Amino acid sequence: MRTSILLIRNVVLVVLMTLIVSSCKKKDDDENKLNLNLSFAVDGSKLEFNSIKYVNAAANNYSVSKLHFYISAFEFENADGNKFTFDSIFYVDAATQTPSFGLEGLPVGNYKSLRFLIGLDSLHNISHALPNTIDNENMSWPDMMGGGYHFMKLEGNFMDGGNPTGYAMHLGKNVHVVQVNIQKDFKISGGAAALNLEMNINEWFSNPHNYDFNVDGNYSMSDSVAMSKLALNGKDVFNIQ
Amino acid sequence: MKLKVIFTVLVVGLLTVLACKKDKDDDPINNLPPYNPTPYTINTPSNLPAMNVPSFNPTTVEGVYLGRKLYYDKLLHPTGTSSCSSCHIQSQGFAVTGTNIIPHVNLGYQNKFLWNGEIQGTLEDAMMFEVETFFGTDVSRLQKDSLYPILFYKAFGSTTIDTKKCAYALAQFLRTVVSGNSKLDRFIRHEALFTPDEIQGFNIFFSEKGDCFHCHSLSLTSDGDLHNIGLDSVFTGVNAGYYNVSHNAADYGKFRTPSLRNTALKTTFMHDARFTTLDQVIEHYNTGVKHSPSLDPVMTKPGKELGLQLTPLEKQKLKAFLLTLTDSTFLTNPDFSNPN
Repeated sequence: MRTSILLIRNVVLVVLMTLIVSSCKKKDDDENKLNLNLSFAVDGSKLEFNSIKYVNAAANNYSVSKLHFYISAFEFENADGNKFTFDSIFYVDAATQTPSFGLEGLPVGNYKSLRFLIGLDSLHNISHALPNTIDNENMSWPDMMGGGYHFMKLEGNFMDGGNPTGYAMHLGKNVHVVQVNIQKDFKISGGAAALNLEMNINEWFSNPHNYDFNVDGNYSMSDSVAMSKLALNGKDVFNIQ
Repeated sequence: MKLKVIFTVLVVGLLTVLACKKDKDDDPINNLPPYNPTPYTINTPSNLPAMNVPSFNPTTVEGVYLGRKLYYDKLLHPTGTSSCSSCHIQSQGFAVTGTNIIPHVNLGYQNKFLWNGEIQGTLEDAMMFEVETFFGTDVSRLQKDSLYPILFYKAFGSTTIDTKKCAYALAQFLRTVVSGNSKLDRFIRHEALFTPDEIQGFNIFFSEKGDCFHCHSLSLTSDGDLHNIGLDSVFTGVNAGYYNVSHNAADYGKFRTPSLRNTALKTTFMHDARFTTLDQVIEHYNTGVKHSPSLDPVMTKPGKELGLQLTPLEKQKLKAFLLTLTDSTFLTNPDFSNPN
C-alpha cells in the first residue's frame, strides 16, 4: 500500500514536472515578440523638428515640421530563404517620443532581409478600409482624387532664395507605395527581441533622384512625377541599426 | 413611584432612540445606497471616428448627469455670476453668436484646447483649467448644497467635492455633446442627397481646388492641430498664436483648426473675430493669404501663391456646402439641455 502511494506520488510529480517544462517551452515559442523601434535622423544626426539646418543632395536647406506615415506588410526572410509575413499596419507620427510596434511570433534565428511598405497595399488603400480613428481620418486621401489614404505627409520649410517657404511632400495612390527592401544580416533572439529601424530623411531626396524643391516642386500631392520620384527614393530611407 | 420613574425613563429613552433613528433615515447623505455607477455608452454616429475615453475617468450615467448639471449651474462660479452655459449656449452651437467663443462641439476628440493650443492633454486637463483657473471654483459652495454631495457620491463614490471631480464630471458630459447629424453626416452615411451646388462645393472642399480638407478633415471638420493660415505676416499680441505658448518662431500665427459644424450660425470668424461673414472667410483663402515663414506648408502650393483663385460661382458653391454643416438636432437635443 505504502509503495503504491509512493508510486502514485512519483507519477504525479513526473507529470507535473513535464507539464511545467512543456508549458515553459510553449511559452518561449509562442510569445516570442519582436519590438520594432523607429527613430529618425538626417545623415546620422537625430532629427530635430522646425529647424532649417538640414541640407539635401540638391543643396536645399530645409527643416521638418511634420512626418506622419503608415508602415505595413512586413516580410522577413531568414538565412535559409524561408519567408515570414505580417499583415500589420502601423500609423507613425515621428514626433512621438519613441514609436515602437510589436510583431508576435517571428521564429528566432538568423535573417538576411526585411521588406515592408511605407504606405498601404491596394487592399487597404481604399476609403474607409482602415478603422475609423482620428489618425486615419486625418490621413484620408479625398475620393475626388482617387480615395484611400495618404501614405506619408512630410512637411517643413526650405530656403527659397533667402526666404523660408513651406514644402509638403505628400504621397498617395497605389502606384506610389514605397517598397522598402533592406538586405542585411540580422539575428532575432528569443523572448523580447528588438529591431531598431532608423529613417534617414535625406534619403527621400536622393538615390536615385536628386529631389530639388525649386525644380521638382514643393508640393507633391497632385504631381504624379514628384510622387514617383519620392516613392523610388523612399525604398532605402530605412536601415537596421 | 420607583417603577413609574423607571417606566418614564424607558419611554423617554426609547423615544429619543427612535427620534434619532428617524432623523438619520431622513438625511439622504447618511443613507446612501452602495456606490454603483452605470456605464454610459457615448452615442457616436458611424461616420465619426471612435472616441478615446481615458480609463481613469470612465463615462457613467451619474457622471454625465452631474457634469451636465454643473455646466448649467452658476454655483460653479465663485461669486455665482455665470455658468459654463452663459457663454456656451446650445441653440447657438454651444457658443455665443457674434463672439470668438469656441463652440463646445465634439470636444471629446480633441487633445489641444483654446484658440492658441495653450492647454494640451485630455478633456479632463482642459476642464481642470476651466474649473481652477478660468472660474476659480469655490467647492465649498457646492459642498454646502443639499443635493450636490449626493450627486458626487453617485458619480465618484465620495460626498467630498473637489475641483478634480468637478472637472471629471464636466469632461464626461462634454464627451457626450457630439454633433454627427448635419446634412454632411447624413450625406456621408447615404441618408441624404446634396443639391448640385452642395456637391460641387463638397468637391472644391475635398480636393486640391480648395484644399480645405488637409486641416478640416472629414468628418470632424478639424484635424485638431495648430496651423498658420496666413491671417497676418507680422505677429503681435494675441495674433502670435501658439508662439505665445511655445516661444518657437516656427509657431507664429498658429491656431487650432476649429470645427466647422454649425458655422452658418456664426457672425464672427477666426480667433479675433476679424471676419463677420462666411464670404469674407472664403475671400481670405481666395485672395487674402499673407505669407510668412510659419505659413502652413499646404498653403504654399505652386500656382496658388495668390490664393485659391476661385470664380464667384465656385465661391458660392463652396458656401452652399458649408451651410450643410448645420446640425439642428445637436442644437435642440434635450440630452444636452439645462437639467436644473
